[in-house]
Amino acid sequence: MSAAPRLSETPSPLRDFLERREALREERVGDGGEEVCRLLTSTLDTAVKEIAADLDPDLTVVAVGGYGRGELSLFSDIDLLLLHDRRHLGDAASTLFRPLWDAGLRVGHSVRHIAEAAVAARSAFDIYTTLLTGRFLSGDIELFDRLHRTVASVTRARPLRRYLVSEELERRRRHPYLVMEVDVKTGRGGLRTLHGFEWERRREDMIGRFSPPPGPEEAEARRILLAVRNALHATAGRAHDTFTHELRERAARWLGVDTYELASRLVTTTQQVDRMANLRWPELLSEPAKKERRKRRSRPRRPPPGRLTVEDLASLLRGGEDGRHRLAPVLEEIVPHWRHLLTVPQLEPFHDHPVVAHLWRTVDEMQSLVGGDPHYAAIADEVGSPDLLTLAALLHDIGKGQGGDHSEVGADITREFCRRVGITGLDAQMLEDAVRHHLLLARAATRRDLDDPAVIEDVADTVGSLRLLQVLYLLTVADARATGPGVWNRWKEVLVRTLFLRVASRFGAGLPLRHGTTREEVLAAAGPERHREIAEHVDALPDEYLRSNTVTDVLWHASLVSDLADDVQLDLRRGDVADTAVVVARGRPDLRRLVTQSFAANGIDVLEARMMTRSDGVVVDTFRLRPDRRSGPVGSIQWESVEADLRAALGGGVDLGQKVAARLAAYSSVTPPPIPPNVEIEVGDGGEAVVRVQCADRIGRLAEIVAALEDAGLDIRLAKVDGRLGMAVDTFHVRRLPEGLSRAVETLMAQITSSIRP
Amino acid sequence: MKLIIAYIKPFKLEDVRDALKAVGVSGMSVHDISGFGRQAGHTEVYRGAEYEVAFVPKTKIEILVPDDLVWPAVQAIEKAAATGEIGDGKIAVLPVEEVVRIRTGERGAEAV
Repeated sequence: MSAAPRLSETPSPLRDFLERREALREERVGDGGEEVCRLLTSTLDTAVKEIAADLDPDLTVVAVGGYGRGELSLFSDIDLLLLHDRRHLGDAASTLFRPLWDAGLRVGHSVRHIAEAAVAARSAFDIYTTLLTGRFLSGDIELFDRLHRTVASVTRARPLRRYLVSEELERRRRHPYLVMEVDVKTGRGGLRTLHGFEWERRREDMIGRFSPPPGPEEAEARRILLAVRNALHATAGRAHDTFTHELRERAARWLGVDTYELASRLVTTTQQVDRMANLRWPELLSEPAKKERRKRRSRPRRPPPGRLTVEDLASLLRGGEDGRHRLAPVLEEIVPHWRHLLTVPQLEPFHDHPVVAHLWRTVDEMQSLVGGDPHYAAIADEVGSPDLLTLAALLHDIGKGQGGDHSEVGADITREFCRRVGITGLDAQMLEDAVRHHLLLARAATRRDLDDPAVIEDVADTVGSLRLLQVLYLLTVADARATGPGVWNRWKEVLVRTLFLRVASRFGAGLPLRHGTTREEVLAAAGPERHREIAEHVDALPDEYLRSNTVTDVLWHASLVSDLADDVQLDLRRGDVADTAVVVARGRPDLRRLVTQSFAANGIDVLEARMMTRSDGVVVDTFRLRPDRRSGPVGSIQWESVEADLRAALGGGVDLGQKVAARLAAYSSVTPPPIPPNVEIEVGDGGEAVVRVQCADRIGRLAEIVAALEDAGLDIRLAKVDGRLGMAVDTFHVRRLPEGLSRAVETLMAQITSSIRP
Repeated sequence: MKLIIAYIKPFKLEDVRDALKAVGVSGMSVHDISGFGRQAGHTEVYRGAEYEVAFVPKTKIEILVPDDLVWPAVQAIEKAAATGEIGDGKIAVLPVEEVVRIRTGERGAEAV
């Protein structure tokens, strides 16, 4: 690259221009926008005219492009057309352009015969629009008039609007949402859209139609965009048109405003330009609108705010550009500070979008989660309300720009929002809580120790329910994806997912979501020959049994019951995720203690358990077994050993308690977290009670808890057991045995608690 | 001059940053990384589906320090990053031949 020429070596006509440019760069004039452009343009006009004075008078010099429009920014390209009607030009082009090149200016040069200009204008829209705003500088005015007539004749034939709309759509395709680092010249919401408006006005003038001058909103947008463009050029020292994070502060200083204020003005302006384009060219919205209308069929185009349903609101939110455009006035009525929110920028470098664009994108990201990745889609399905998720995405940052903690402010706004649109009860509370806690998972996942059970408990306590946790999880992912390219990555995904899964397990979400089965389904599957056997089996178990088992499970269990010749039947089925063991046995007071001890004594960790007792005393217990991380699933030898130990223990031939203690001693270096055991008992009607036990988990813990319950004289009818993350969270539905009836609840709690060593 | 590389648990980053500031270290590079060592991955289960995390998320920090700050910095990281649990991480100290501050052209300890 050649070195920049020294000013003293520059031909004198251009020296003034370069000196003025440098002076303007050092210190702006006026608001830094149109006045700077005017000064630069007029100074350059003088220089170019001086240079062009050496050309033959039949040659015409035309300022085109931005220079033609008088929008010359500090380091803009200088677009010049040398127009002629000759066979030979000689060295005219060199005479005109060489001084500009030598001065280090970037020149967009073209040399055209008048006939070529017409062909070029007809063949390419970008040349046509360049010529539309051509401005005569010097030479043969007649030739310039011929050019003008040529452009006018092309104008009558060219479908300019379709071209401008396609260009605008392309800008929107590149940037589906307005960005903070906006390219003020060619980006979405930038000058190029306003140029389109100007070209249309020129076209109308040329074909003799009246075109109203730019309105105050358009004029103001142009003024601000030009000022920002000049500020960027001045601070970058080159033709840099993007409002990058690195240049924002210096650009604001050049304009004499605060960085936040400048960003806010720019955000407001780009949104206004976007809206003006929507109003001027409604076809920008037509395609999505058609699709959305097809979906909504008979629904009104824009429901009156007073009668707006949640479904309407969510549907418009999901309706892309068209839906948002039509929703804007509605939101202004529902959310009092919506207009202010439109002016709120986000200056942190990781934020790609201003607040409102971020909200739109979060809504869309939520949509893609609901219908995309099976993991997220399944969770969204559990939440069961796509509209609620859509609204949570819209509202999560609604408190920004109001001062204070935006989550808390947003929660208050959300409460009022719900009241206005008629969302009540649990859904209203859910939305308010989702907004209040929308940063909880992201912060906890990256700033707190996920291996600490107390952290998991703390998050679970804050969230309070699995459904809110699920909403927050989806919102966290959608929010991060909508923030910027570096914000959501595999690293963060693993942390947030781990936190979610661990907290979800606290709410008992580890077990497969079973839709269960019905008595009719099971009997139909059993066939006539097993009808009676299966009916007896099902009728002997609590209702929960059918709700939590599949048809296959029920038939499997019934077979084991019918084969129950001696005291116990054990069976193991391999699963994709974990092995499942079923124990069917005739009840005896110490049965479950021995079963769980036989697992612990052989190093098998129980992930989850469901314990149920038939009315005839036969137990049907299901255990999901955690595969060993090193050796994999439960081995057949290991399983045979479990079976042998259990049978021996039932026969009194072996003390499983000793075997468990020996294994525990071998792992004594593994210290459980210091969590004191917590036992709660809730006594129901008819001698039934629910016992909840929460304590640090370790080898043999389940056996210990089961033994404590059996020692307390309680018969386990149903149990849900969850032991992960070093915590056991177990719920037992028990029936008091006669000898347990006299015991007070407090005594029972103390007895169980003391049996569980911390 | 030495280059100190530390692999720490992500949630310890702010503690480590504060501790390094307290001993006079004014800058660091931070990278989000994943890996495994003695702390193998872990498996979580949700609705019966198993989610295995084979590579555990960690944070890698790099700091350039003059010789007199090496051990204070190492001790600061060690103390701030410790939980006593497996997976607390590692610290490596590497010799550095030369450092150049690009803006000023300063060399050696001046550039740190």
